[in-house]
Amino acid sequence: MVVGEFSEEVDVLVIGGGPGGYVAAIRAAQLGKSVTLVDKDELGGVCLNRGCIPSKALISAAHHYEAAKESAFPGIATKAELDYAKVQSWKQSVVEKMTGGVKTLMKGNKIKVLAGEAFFTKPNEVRIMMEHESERFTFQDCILATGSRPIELKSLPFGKRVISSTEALNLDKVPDSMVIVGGGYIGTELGQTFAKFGTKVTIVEGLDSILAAFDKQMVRLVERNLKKYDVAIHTKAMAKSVAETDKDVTLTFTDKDGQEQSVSADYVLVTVGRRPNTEELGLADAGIQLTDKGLVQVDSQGRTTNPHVYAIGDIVPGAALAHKASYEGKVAAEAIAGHPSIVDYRCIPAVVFSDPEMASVGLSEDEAKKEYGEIAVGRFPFAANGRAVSLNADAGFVKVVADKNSGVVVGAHIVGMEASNMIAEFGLAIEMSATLEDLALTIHAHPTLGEMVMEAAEVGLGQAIHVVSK
Amino acid sequence: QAHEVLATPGVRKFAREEGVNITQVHGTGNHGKVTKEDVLAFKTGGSQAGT
Repeated sequence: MVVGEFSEEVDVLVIGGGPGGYVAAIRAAQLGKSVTLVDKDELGGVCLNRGCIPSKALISAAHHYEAAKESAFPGIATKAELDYAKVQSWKQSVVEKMTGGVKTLMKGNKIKVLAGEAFFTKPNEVRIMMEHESERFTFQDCILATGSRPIELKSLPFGKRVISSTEALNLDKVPDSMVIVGGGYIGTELGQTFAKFGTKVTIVEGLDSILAAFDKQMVRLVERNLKKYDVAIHTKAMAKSVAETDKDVTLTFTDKDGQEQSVSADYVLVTVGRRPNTEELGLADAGIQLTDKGLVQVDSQGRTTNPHVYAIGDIVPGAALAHKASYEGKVAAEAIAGHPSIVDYRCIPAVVFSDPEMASVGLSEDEAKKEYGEIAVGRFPFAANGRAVSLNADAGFVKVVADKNSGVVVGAHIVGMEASNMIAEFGLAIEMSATLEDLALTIHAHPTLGEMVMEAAEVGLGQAIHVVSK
Repeated sequence: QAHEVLATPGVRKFAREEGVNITQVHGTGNHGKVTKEDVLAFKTGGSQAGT
């Protein structure tokens, strides 16, 4: 048989095994479809292999090292030793455990998994290049979930010492120094982590603040901790060029006063954003159109301009977040099965695993003012919460934003320990159209950090118990 | 936009499954929140938006 002549027929083909793709595959299988999933790399995609999971593992290790090294806890003296090779192999074991879990889920849901690279040859056909062969597959429906990759700057091409987040997560030892270009959440999380492990970190950010998308008051607390670790932050700074030697790399940038500066380090880590993987897929041949921003154009069910191809995750408009991709994956799979599902959410939480953590959901104060005119804001400090103080973690606050007229909660912003977990209750509140009163009347366990949700709502109602109203 | 209507995610899903455009439904719940009953009432030709 001539390779490539034969075209195998599949029911639902999912291209990409990241958090969007594999969740879409599972939901489609649950709804009775026979599903084939193809991925050119490891199952789990960026999130599990070189994103969310490994970065959180390293952050967690850095946090433990910090606590052991110079215990900020009164009365506890410790002596810390760091074996970074062991930290790395543990991190890898975490990744393997999670990707192994995805493999098990695929098997359990009878999803056929192919290792290969897919591109469209016809509107309903792809060619999949596998290790030793290529094969054509005709599909009834297809879900595209090819994700994104780090943006490479022309002036700072990736190389041995100019690296992306992928290489930064896999360094075999802690660098003495690192310059980070881009102070978004990826740059800040990794910068703070390496700083805790002992790296001299410099952040070069183009905007007037790191983590510019977040509430300024929240960012201030993170900056304070970065300074504790001697992290140098240059804002309104433009990276211009790099020069690599055998021993180090030098980044030249213009600072906020327009002065040229250079800084040398072991590595320059470029974290200026992510680019959708929409090239080399033959999308045009499949009748799939892109938006002017290079993202795949989709309707409210995730359907592309080719009615049998859906697209989800980082390749479609919206926040590039794993939980958004998974949500869209379920919608697309349900749409294929004939369900009337659509992308219909009021909010998506965003979390930064900085120290302290930051989490945000719904509208900012400014956005809420624009939308509702008068707003009610309730802000409650960690310093007034018994659990926070007993955890020796009294830095931070919980802020809730509501429409003043109805009291309906429209946004929340948290900085402090466990912000990432506490934000979930506000996400539910916004989705349920809950009011400040609803939150305030819900009994929260004492003493917990979660109580601050209730207390912030009470502040918003002008009925604060544990802080004195001004 | 359906997600701008005051209604829980479950009720929004229910409306879709019943083929009801939830933005047209008059909500009788707290602050005009649309309930499952409101969706059913609308479907059987009951309440209309703005009435």
